[in-house]
Amino acid sequence: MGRARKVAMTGGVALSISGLRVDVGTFALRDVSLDVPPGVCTVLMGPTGSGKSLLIESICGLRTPQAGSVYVAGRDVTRLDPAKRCMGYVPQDYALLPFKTVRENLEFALAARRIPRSQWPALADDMLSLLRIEHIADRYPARLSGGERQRVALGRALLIRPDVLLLDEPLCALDETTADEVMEELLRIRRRFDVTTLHICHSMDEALRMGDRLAIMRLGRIVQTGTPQEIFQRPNSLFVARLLRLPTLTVGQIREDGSGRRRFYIGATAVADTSLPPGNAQAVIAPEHMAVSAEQPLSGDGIAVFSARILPDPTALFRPQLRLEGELNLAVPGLYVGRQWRPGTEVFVSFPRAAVHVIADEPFIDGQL
Amino acid sequence: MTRNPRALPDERSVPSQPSPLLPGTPQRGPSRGRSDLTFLEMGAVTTLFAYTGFLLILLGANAAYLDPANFIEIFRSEDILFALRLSLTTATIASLLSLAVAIPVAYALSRARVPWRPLLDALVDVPIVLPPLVMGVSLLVFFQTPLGRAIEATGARFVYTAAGIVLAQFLVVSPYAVRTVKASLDAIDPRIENVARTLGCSPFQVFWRVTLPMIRSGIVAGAVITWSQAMGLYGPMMVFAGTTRRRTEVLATSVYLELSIGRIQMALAISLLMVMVALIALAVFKRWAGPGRWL
Repeated sequence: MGRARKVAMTGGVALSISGLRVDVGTFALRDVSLDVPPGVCTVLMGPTGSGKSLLIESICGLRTPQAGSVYVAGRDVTRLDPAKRCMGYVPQDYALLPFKTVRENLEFALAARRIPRSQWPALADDMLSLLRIEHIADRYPARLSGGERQRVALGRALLIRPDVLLLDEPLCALDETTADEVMEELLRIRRRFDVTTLHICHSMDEALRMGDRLAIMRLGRIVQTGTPQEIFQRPNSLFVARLLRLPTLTVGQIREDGSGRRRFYIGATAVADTSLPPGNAQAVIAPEHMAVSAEQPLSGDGIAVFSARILPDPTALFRPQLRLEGELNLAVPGLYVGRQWRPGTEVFVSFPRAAVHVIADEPFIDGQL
Repeated sequence: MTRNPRALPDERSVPSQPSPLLPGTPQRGPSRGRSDLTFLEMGAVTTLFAYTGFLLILLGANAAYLDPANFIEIFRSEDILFALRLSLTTATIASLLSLAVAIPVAYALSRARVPWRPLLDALVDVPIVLPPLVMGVSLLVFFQTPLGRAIEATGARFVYTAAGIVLAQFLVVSPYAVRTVKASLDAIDPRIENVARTLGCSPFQVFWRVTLPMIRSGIVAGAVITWSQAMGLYGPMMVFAGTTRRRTEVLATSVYLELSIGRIQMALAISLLMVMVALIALAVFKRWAGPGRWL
């Protein structure tokens, strides 16, 4: 405890996974390597069944890896008993003890860590007030709302002063308003404890608000890691672009001319050079470089211009974007339908060719994006 | 907790107390009036009353047929009182024993990596499938084998003893304990046990502090069903333990013996005694071991 507390107060510890292989029946984590620097929150995203929860369980020591290693604060914990690691594990449905009250659930963590009973009331009180759940201290989990259960599970994990906090879809069972509150709460707690965090989520909103870094998983592998900005601008596969539901993802072809120069075409217009092989391909256009205008803009050398028509989009009420149809079929985020741009209006879209990131095509596999 | 002012009030965080703003509101809670009973509920409730009514009529008919003198007689009969004590003692020991075995067996079937699990799972149920009488015969045969004789040679006597009663009861009723305990074990979210491990509990501590409290209702149900079954068992005892008065005669055997010599009224009196004892014992036990406040 002493060591953990000191570390938690001095900026967290790093989590480092390399070459991890975990077989579970027909599924396996394969060659998973991931570094989470001290105090950083890495958000793990991927479709259902990509192995995110399994990875977290393996980090906790609940699964035995067949190969690879897990280091926490420079210490090899690959073969260490889960009870001897110091992992703050918050599983998907919070897994509170139904036969204990909120306070007893918190004290359970202290008992498990063999903290003297005389210290329990003070430590539990501190955590209850930190999470602002003093008023439910004597309730049983069956009588709590989703957000309250989430806080209790978080408090229980934090009470052991974890080296790493592992959150398995902490907001998935909450309605959006509660999820918003809990997200704020999580950010506040993370600033307070400065704890290294691995956070699984499905929602883009959550990933961008919570994550300092993103790691994308697919079929038991990590396929891309980076800052959210890096991954949003340069997804390394169509899978990642689809998973992130990038609005500017657009279809095209790569063609090679007589001189061997390969270019990505949208319709008849070449928009970018590429080294990918000729054939169908897709591209992501950096939305911040896209311009929409009613007048045809000058198409300079480095600028591509397309005409399109604005489509009606009911979701634009809360997520501003222009859905377009025509030479270009995509959505331009950040623009309000209706104020300046009415559905049906013919517009021109222009963007510098440098803003185009070409991605190789891949077959659409149902369920795995 | 930072409450978003626009957030809808959380229903579950509102204490379920009568609203001070609405004096005189009937405190019905969420339940609907009687007129709102659906056809499904009406059908179910009708069946419930028909079923329990039939049982009550059955007991009432027995009681009416009974000569009160017989009922007084059984309380004067040292033989019957001995059988009552023996029944209570053996059924309680057999029930406890079956739970002591059922908990690890159910745990192994539910959690451990066991080879041939489906086969072992089916084997556990064999005593349920076999007629209890056959279990008695099997026990008798077993104690004629070299192994059985070796066990009796150590001084642990089972054939025609009270220990034999317990053994027979234990064998017949333990599958019920395994089933109820395993059903509650299977219902536990493994994540609850996993989290306890990450918090610092050893596997044994997880079992003791998490698993056992969570299967409490299964254990209670197992205790009730095994005890009741053991109380009513007479087939295997007659074969294996005999029916010696003041030695191996239990109440269920007494009923059978009285019937076999045509003293139906006496048999009914003893049956009624069994019903009363069982009802009182189960009521007390359920009250003492009933569900915790958290359920």
